[in-house]
Amino acid sequence: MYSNQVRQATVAEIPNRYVLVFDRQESGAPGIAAAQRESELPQLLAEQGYSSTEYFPMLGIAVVTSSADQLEDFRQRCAGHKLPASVVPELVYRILPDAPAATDSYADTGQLTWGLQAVGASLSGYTGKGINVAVLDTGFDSAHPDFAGRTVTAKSFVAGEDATDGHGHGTHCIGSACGPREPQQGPGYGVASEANIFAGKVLGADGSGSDSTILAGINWALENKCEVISMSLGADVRTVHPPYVTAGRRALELGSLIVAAAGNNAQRSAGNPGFVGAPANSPYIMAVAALDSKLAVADFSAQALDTDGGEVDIAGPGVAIYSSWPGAKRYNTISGTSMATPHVAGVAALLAESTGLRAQELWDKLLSTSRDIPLPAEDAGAGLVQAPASQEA
Amino acid sequence: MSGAEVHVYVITISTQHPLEPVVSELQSRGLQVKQVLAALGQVIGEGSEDVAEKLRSISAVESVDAQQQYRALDDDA
Repeated sequence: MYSNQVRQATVAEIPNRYVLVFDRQESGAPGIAAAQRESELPQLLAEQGYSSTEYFPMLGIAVVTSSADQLEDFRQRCAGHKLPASVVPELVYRILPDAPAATDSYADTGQLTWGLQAVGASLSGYTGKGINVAVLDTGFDSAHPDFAGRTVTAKSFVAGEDATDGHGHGTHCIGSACGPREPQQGPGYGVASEANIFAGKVLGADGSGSDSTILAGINWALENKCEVISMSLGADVRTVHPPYVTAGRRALELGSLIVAAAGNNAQRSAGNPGFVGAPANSPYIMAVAALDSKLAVADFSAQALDTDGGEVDIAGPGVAIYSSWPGAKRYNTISGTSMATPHVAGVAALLAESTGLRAQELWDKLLSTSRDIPLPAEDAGAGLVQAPASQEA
Repeated sequence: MSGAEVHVYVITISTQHPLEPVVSELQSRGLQVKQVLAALGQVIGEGSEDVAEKLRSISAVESVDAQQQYRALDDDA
């Protein structure tokens, strides 16, 4: 089921062309008699100087080329004959190029990662411009050439470490959320390629952190009016940790949406579905599952808990994800609900830009526009996150 | 967990109360305040479990939670 494949059309009026509809507009009223449609109307049209080649007697509809004065004169003529006539401008319709048919299998190409293809970022006219996206993680390699010229605000909350990414995970997540779609080399890998980046270092070079650093990072993101906060981190605990209930709720109150990785504690191939850990199991934090390139749930991706907030809310690409990496390596391909989360954050930025929605309304929009996939909600929530379509030219 | 052992706690303050007086009260009950997160209405501080119990009795305090540890969630971690 691919419920979001909507064909769209553009319309424009054609100058001096009108559609004349000879009928009573009231619901249930009898139409005009066949004799009038077949003889009286063609005669009236001819007397007005209109061609009868575009008159359709079966329908009681004519399409004419006319000046406004001529049209008004004709309307009065019809009224004199007690013929109901309505006039609308003729429109030209153009079917937009179809989006590629929804597929359930993707692969990296020379132009785009499979993840960008799957979420529809490559077809979106939106880039997250003007939207502040905070990625709270292991920091960022601000010298990475793919981010030259980008607006980046970085801050470390880890004692004894600056905001430089000494791990790689943070730079990778920032790449998926906010990296380029057309880098100088290799495939495009970033969803919100023009968003303002806020790189909050809340995990140290060893990849771990605590409430002290993470909550400080959330607080900083809120102070900086970040519309989207992405957290690819977690702990394998079933119990909801109260500080994140408050943090998620207050973020929504302040116009911000927090998305977090559901967790990698499953081993589905061994019969262990895992569970959504903290902080993603807060009711006010959106929990993100990971899919592979065939849109199957990843073996490691945690399943919903049977508690308020323990749901999996949405899914994103999270297996074999190519993105930026610090230092000379520049790029790396890794897996995790960590990788799915910034895809959702990036799409949230595009939706925030395209709709103006924030916080809970943005949350609802992300879910309602996601792509239905044949997976249980306990594994993939509302489905695969989807970028908004292009703006009309 | 010994009552005297020092831990880091997250204290969540009700939005119905101004933050500063509550922070002063937390300190007066023995919490060593490390960070005040105004946007979240939360305070990070150190204290013993005995101190934490005293903080829980303050009406403006919604919760007192021992700090947890987290890690990056790539599958290779």
